[in-house]
Amino acid sequence: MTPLQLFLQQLANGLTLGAIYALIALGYTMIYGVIQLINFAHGEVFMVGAYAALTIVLLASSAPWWALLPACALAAMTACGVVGAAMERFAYRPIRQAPRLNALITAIGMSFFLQNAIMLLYGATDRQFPNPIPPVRWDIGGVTVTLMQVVIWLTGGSVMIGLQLLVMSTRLGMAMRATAQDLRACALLGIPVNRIIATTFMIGSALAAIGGMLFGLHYGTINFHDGYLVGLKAFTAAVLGGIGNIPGAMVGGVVLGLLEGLGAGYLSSQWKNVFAFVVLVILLLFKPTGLLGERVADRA
Amino acid sequence: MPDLAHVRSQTIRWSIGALAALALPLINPNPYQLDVLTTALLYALLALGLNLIVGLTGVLHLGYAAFFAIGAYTYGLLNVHLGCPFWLGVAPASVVAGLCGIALGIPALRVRGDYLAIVTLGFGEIVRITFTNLEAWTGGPNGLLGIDHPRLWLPGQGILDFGVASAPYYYLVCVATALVAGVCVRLSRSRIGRAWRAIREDEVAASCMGIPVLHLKLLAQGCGGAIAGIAGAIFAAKQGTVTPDSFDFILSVMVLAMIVLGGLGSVRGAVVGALALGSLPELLRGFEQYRMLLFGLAMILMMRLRPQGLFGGFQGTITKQKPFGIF
Amino acid sequence: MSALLEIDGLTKRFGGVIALDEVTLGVQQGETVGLIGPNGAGKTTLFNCVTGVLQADRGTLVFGRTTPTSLIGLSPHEIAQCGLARTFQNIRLFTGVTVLENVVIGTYARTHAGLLSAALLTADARREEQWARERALELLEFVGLADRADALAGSLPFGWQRRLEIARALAADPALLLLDEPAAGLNPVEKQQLVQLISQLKGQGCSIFLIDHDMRVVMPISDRVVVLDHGKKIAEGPPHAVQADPRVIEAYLGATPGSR
Repeated sequence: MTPLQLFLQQLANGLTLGAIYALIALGYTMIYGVIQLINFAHGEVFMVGAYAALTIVLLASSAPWWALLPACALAAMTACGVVGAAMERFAYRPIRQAPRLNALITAIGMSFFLQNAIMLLYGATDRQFPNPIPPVRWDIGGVTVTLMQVVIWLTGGSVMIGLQLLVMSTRLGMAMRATAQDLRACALLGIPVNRIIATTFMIGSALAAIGGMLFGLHYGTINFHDGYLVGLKAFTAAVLGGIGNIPGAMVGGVVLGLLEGLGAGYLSSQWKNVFAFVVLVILLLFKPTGLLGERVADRA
Repeated sequence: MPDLAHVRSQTIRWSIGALAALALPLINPNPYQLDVLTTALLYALLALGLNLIVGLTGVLHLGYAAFFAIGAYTYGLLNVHLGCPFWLGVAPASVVAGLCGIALGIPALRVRGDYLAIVTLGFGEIVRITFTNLEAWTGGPNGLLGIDHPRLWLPGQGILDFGVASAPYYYLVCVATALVAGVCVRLSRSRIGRAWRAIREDEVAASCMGIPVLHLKLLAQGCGGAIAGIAGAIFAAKQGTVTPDSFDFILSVMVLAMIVLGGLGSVRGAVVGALALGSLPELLRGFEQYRMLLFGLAMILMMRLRPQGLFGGFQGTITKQKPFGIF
Repeated sequence: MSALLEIDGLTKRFGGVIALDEVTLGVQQGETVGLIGPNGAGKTTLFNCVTGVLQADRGTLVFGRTTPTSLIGLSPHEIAQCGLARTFQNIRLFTGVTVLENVVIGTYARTHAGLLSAALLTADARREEQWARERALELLEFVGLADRADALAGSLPFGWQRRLEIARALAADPALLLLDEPAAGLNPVEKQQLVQLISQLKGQGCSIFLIDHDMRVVMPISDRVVVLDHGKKIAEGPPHAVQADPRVIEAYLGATPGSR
């Protein structure tokens, strides 16, 4: 393979990874946007999605892949939507006025709780994620592109376009944007902020669910502990794009995926995880507003 | 003037407590139980250190395990490569960990609250993974092996090697915790402690009252790090080996949970919280699988129902009558 | 008499908004200067620049009669150590600690005990603690809070919180006291008591720089009044002259004295 071909190949891989990170990053960014909380447990929600998708794949393994995948997605989105809404309603809403440390501890506690729950339900060992997509591949100028990758790109891309339309062109989207800017003012204006926040959580969780399913497809194995690491990388992506900024999360996810895809070709796997943390720390120290600028409410 | 009656009653309470603690191994020499207590007291040391940073000064820190690791590895490396005995190794372990606390703080403290927590988390993980990867220096994932146990010359008994006996470590940690707790109480009641609390309450107002906010935050990080360093050295000497897995994010969170349970800023609370949560893994022996589940649930409920912890909330350390310091 | 505080050509922008436009004024030793102006005139911004909470874009700030020091570029704690103390428009007390501790914290700039002294509890440290506590109690006596020294600062009624903030500011024995709307939110009786308190401070020779909206508070105690409007100084002089100044009246859109 020529260096250019290698580069393009890593690029393709990176784009796949990027789509997944972007979907999860969107959840972080949307939640931070409305209630200024880093939802530590979001990585676990992503794992719930992966495992829910796995369950459907195992149950209906004989179904054709183009019917199976949407069913998985639906199941994952439902499961995660419920988890997200419950999380918001019972853990985060009661402490919305409390100091930051309290919210952070609650989020960490929620993360531990979910992680352990998944472990108890599905076991601590890696689980195989069967790939229902037929192994079709195309050779474009020496670079291999699989059907699965295309599926991931298209799924990720269409979901993100859908979200952008939702946020920019619907009444719900407008309410979400307004709530992110000034919660109290919205409440005073009669906007049902609690419902908006709950909806934001559900949408964010549903996106993570799809990310989870795609993650399972891409890697072939899932483990209850993956949520922590992937969650942190996705958070890095969200900050990279500018926290609270929805297009930013998409850009950040893709960029991080590309970086990791390219880096995997040139860095040893041992240092790969350090790389992610180092990027995160450097970002937060030197450019916390990210590439596209953050969109957070003014906290006077 | 210090209220003499209060000082007298305080002295009596402390003496009774000290005697009870010292007598325990003689009354109930069960090595397993002593070991559990020793572990819990090590946690207490960590909790005391983190309490300075998070509890008193209000800096959100999620990477405290890194300083514990740095202290442990510092003594470990000094001992394995230079033959440095424990009693000489504690000080450098503490100093290095403290300096790292300050060094990590300098970039990190420029960042606002939520992000600071994530940055400290990142640092913690970077330290751990680096220790895991630098195999030539640190022995990699298998860890540093063959670290000497402390050796003490006792009159009439010659040299006592602590070895794997439980009682000597118990006494060591008791003394260490008592000393550190005493210093923490003094700090808490001093000008520095007041300034730390002021920073926690309102940084801008504190700054306008002449308090050098950044310097004091770094000081808190340094002190907290130094205390973790002491704990690390003791831990390394006790275990004889140091593996990077012992110093993960979960440890950082556990120590945080201990001081939140005890009440942020309270020295008493830090020790009690640590003893309670630190002995829990042993008490829940049969329920290991559910440990994190219950722990997570406990954290969520605690924040909902009693966020100020056991001894937290109002800390009246300066009143008209209270005497200063200890003794 | 050389000025205690010299502000010259101070300018501060927030993006496109000019909050302070070449403001020049001075505060002499021992005098009380009142700073008034409509909402948004830049009064608190001026205080924030003087105390280092904000950094001015242009201009000079010199403080100190015997050793004039430029305050430009200094951080708030360094400025406080020079001898300026302030209260805040929205009250920034340390609500989680006691009344007494709030004032003792105020003595930070005048005490020295560091980490080692605290840990070892040296004789010097004890003496300082003693001094700090006694000074704090004196000040609480002065503002009338001595009997509530052990109460939680956050539990005080609003008017008393303001007095506590003043006591805390006085704890560092400042050469210049800046009061940002000390009368805001007080009822008429409390305002009268506040005026009395500030008069007492004046009597003790304290130099005061004061912002407020209520003319019944500003006029009786100020030796001089400065008026800001849209970041510019539009008038300066003795209280009655300023009150009658047509430009000032226009800036307030016809507000007559004491109408608030």
